[in-house]
Amino acid sequence: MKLSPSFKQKIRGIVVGGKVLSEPGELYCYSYDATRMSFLPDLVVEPFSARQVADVVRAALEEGVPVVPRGAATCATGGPLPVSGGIVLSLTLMNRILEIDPGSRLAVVEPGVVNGDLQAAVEPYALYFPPDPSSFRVSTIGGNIAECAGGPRCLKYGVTKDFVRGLEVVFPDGRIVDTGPYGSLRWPESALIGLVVGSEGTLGIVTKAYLKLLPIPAATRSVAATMRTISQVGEAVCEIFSAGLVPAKLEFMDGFAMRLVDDVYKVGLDREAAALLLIEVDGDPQGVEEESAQIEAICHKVGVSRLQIARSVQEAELLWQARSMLSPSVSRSADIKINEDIVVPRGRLAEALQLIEELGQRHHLRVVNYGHAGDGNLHTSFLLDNDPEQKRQAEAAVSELFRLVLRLGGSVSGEHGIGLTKVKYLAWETGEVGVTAMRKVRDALNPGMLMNPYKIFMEPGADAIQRDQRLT
Amino acid sequence: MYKVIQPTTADEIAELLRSAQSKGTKVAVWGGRTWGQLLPDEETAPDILLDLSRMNRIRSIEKDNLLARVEAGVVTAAVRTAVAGEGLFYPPDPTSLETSTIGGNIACAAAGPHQLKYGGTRDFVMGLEVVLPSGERIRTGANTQKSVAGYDMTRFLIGSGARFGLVTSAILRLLPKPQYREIVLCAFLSSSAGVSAALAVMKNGMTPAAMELLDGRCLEVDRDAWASLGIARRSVGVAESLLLFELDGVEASVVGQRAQIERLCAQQGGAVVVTLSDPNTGTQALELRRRLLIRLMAAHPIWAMAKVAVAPEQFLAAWAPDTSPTVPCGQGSGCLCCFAHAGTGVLHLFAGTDPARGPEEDGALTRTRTVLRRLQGVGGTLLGIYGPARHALGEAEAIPSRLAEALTTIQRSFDPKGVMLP
Amino acid sequence: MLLDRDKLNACVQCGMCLTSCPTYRELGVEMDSPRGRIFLMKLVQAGRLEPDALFARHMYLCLGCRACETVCPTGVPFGSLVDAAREVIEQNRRLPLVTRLVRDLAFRHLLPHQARLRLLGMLLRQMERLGLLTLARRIASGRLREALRLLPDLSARSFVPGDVATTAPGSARRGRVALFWGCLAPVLLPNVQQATVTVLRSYGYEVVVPEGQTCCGALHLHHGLRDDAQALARRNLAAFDGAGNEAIIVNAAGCGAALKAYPELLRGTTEEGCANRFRIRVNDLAEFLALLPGPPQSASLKETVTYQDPCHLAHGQRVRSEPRQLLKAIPGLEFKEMPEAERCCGSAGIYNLLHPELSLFLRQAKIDHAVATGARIMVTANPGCQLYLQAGIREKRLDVEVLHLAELLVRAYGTRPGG
Repeated sequence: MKLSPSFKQKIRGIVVGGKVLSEPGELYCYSYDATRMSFLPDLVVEPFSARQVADVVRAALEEGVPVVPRGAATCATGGPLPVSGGIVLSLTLMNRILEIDPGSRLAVVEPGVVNGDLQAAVEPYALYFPPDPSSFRVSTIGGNIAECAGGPRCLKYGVTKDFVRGLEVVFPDGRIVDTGPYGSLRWPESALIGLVVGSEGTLGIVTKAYLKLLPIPAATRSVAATMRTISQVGEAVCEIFSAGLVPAKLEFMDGFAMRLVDDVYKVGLDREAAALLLIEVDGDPQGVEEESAQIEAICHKVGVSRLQIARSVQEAELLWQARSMLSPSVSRSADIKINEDIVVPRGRLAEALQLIEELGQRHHLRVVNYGHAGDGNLHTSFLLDNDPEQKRQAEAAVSELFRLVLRLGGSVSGEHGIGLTKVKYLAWETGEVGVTAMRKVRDALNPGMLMNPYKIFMEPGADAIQRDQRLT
Repeated sequence: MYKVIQPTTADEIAELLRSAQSKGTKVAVWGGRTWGQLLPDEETAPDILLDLSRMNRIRSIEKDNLLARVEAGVVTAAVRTAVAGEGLFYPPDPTSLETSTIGGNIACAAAGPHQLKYGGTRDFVMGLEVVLPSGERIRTGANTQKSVAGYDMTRFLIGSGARFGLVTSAILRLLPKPQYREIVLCAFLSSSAGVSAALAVMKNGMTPAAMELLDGRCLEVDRDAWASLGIARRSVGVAESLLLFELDGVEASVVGQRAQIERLCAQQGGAVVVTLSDPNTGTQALELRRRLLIRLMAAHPIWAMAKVAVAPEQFLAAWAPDTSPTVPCGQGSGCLCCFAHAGTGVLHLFAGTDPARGPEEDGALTRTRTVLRRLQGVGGTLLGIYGPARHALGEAEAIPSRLAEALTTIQRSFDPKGVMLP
Repeated sequence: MLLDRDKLNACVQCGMCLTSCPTYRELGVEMDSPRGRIFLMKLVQAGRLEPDALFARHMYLCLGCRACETVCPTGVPFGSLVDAAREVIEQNRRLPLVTRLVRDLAFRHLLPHQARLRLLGMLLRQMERLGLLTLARRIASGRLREALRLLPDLSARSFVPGDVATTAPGSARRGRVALFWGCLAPVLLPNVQQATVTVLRSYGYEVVVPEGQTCCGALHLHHGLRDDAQALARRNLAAFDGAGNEAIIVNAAGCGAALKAYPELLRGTTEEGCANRFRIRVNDLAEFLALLPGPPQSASLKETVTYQDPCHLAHGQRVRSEPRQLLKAIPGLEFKEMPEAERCCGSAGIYNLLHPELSLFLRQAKIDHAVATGARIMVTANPGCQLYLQAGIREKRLDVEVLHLAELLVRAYGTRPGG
């Protein structure tokens, strides 16, 4: 789409103190996210304030120009991609922490604040922000809110939506609503917050977030349990919950993942194992001691082949490094990695793993499973060589995977959102009636679909536009 | 006069709403007849009143998946009891839980003392079955806690009453039942001591399952019952306060938490600490807290209450000397009681008026208005006003116009004929 | 094509590099992030974008610190990619005459020639003695003034190979090592060279400084002059290809990284095999010493010390624990870890002359962190960092000493120069 010089001029006039980028090289750099796709925007705008965001959105609406909000673009589903061009509105310049109120366990931040920076800023107050997606060192709070980010800690504490106490939102028509820090306690502000969190930038742009913080636990203890069969994973998870315990983290990686990590990093993982379970408990020191002892007993009862216990922060880091080495190991073991984020009810985890293994075999593809065992959120990665046949198989495998997940009563997206890449699967999960209901909401707030178009919902002409506009 | 219908299945409701759309019938929904809900009057004038109390089955409790599927008419207490039997725990504990239904809780996003550690209804509903005003049936949410597939219609609907549709059943998130639980009561000689103790607990990085603050006048309405638990008022006329803690976890953790609380409360001087580890007395204490409002209402037929959210450090503004009279309740000038979810910053100002006086002359209402202004001055937000005399407290804060517009638009697209009454 | 497609395709645009990149942190635009730079390279490689002024600007704004390589999950060799990009740029542009002359003067006619550097050193010392340098600093402006400000105390004369004596008496001879002494370091930081030799001798090593060695070529490679870099590499290979297989010790992180990358620099040439054999011998001083049992005899130092990781040692060579290990092993020494120890100090070769604002910002942050630890000595392992940090400390008149690891070890080991 061609933007008129007068429009660009108008935008420059609005974004004083911010940035407006229009050189081809600059536009290219805002055309991508963490998927392999990119689409060229017509203008990149980095506003300095909520007022500027609102004015840009309004000016764009008047011209019929799409606006696509963007944080750090670590999104794995195409959320910040400007599919039909228009303006990429980057929130990274609005990165101030406005207030930390330890007495109320509250932080007020602009959307461009990096999750990791918020953690560092509130640490001196012995507080932390629990949502810890693996991208936390880079991803922004605004992005976390748009995708309702999760992370390992969310088993015990919840996901991003449980930590949003209020929001300031710029609606697609440029009007601003600020719910204040008690928005979540009051209707209808709570309904707005409920909608905006996880709306992937299609209902409004967050320009301020009132976030709930928790006190940093006084003590933590980590346990790593190596298991010889997949069913033991399910048993262990079940037993831990049956005992009345809720660990802070309950992560797992399957045997194939363990072998990949061991291949690359040689850390002495059991190559015959079927799974590694990494458990962390936190809380007051006495409670942690007790809970950890109970978990150890449970692991022995279920019959683990090896149990490692970390009693200090350094030991815990060593234990957990297998988990952090996973992503690089997987990347180095294949030309292409297709990572899907799915959830199944936790009681059906073992079953899911079994079925996924069979699926991989059927399609002659290598599959790695790892993720958040405690809440049934799996990251299933297909590892491919750069081979057209494998790519074809992978496409079919992914569709089958979603069908399998839905049959087990799960969801096609645990943390990564629908974005662009899972648009066609939304109706599989919610049914057409469900999609229609959501569309009604979208059309009420974002008529004309100018804010982040082509995301979440299938639109007529979407395939054609993607084909025409896609750069890579 | 309206017609009361008690459906037993969602299909019945769907059929009903379908025909309501075509005929333009007005439909209202009636839940558990909880204190907050008034019978429809001439103003609202529905044609049909739907009573969901017959849709009260607990369809299933899935222990491995930590969820329960329940119909909207199930009483909340029944859910809690049923899941407890399986070693599970449904944390939301609105004070009305003995009578209110899950559907009602969902309609007004009810929460209770557990909001502090666990959250309220909004945090424990994973999915809903809804009949839309058009008669169509949809499912929102998922069977899992984590799911980002499209918009969170569940959270959108929670708290929205029946505006956008009628919830017929819900998928509730459950937790494993904590191994051990204790109630700890701490009584203080002054309101400020109680507030300070609560602040100290939070500052120490503790998050009890519940931390409720009651002032002396609240204790008076159930004086004997509290006394039987070991909390006796020292003398009439002296302002006092009580902190009620619920602690849960593994036994070692609870014991540790209790020790910390005892230490922190002792620092406030003159505190009396009573630990109720026996489940029966513990439950009694919670019961007392829950029925507080009912008792206050019974003691003061003409009452008004303001619910305010404010930073916990500002609580003292509610108990400043000029708002805490030495004259005890019921003696001519009305009564102002305060109770709060201390950790989350939600404060209730209950004004029991003297029927003999008008709202302008009534001391309690005047004092309440003063306190409200003061709280709003330090950043407090009015969450709601209730009661027959509520208009004397002022107006509820207006909904931002853009938001109201958005909701109206959404409402119209779901319910073009305006069939559903909120 | 100079830009290797396979290397570029290793980048899957995950974005994990963004917040470890100092230029992204400060400048806040995707073009100044590793991911953005790589995307621009991909476009140039595919012929979709010209290596124009915008491309050059963002490629040269990169500090070359390679902090991104440390966090990259797929192992993208960003450092070598940005060097290749700069080569593309230089091949496609012609710098203004004066700039080109100054660059050629420095890079081709000065740095590779020890004798000329020593002459320059002598000249600067005389000027310092006569107070002319102080005058020059006052009247000069812009880049020249920044360069002059960097000059350290020039009282000691340049270090010459002839200064090296035999193994220290009293310590059993363990072997022989060859010293790579760099180009500017012997002139501007002769104490560091001397200290390096002293330390090695105190561990029982005879130190030889092969003749014919020259500038490592890092600066040339990082400024798109690959041919020059290759020529220098060949000279060094020849110089060190002498008698034995002894370890080659480097005390400059930037040079060490460059020497270890000679195999890649000379890939596909006849010297590739020689470069491989050479590379195996190259050790940073800390790497080498950490493997030896030590410290020798009466080591002791009662000081609070912190350590600043030079980028090319931490990120470029993955040597992090060894310097710390050596410091912590000294009795009486209190080691304090500084926050963001691995973050670039801003020196980055001649970056601090070309982009002073960002460099100054980074340097100030680094100095603040060091001061906050309460340490009285900040140790580093790269002359570039050392000079830049010293200048910053001098300007603020702070009570912190910036020492090279070798200088601190000498102090701790109590050995006198000359054995």
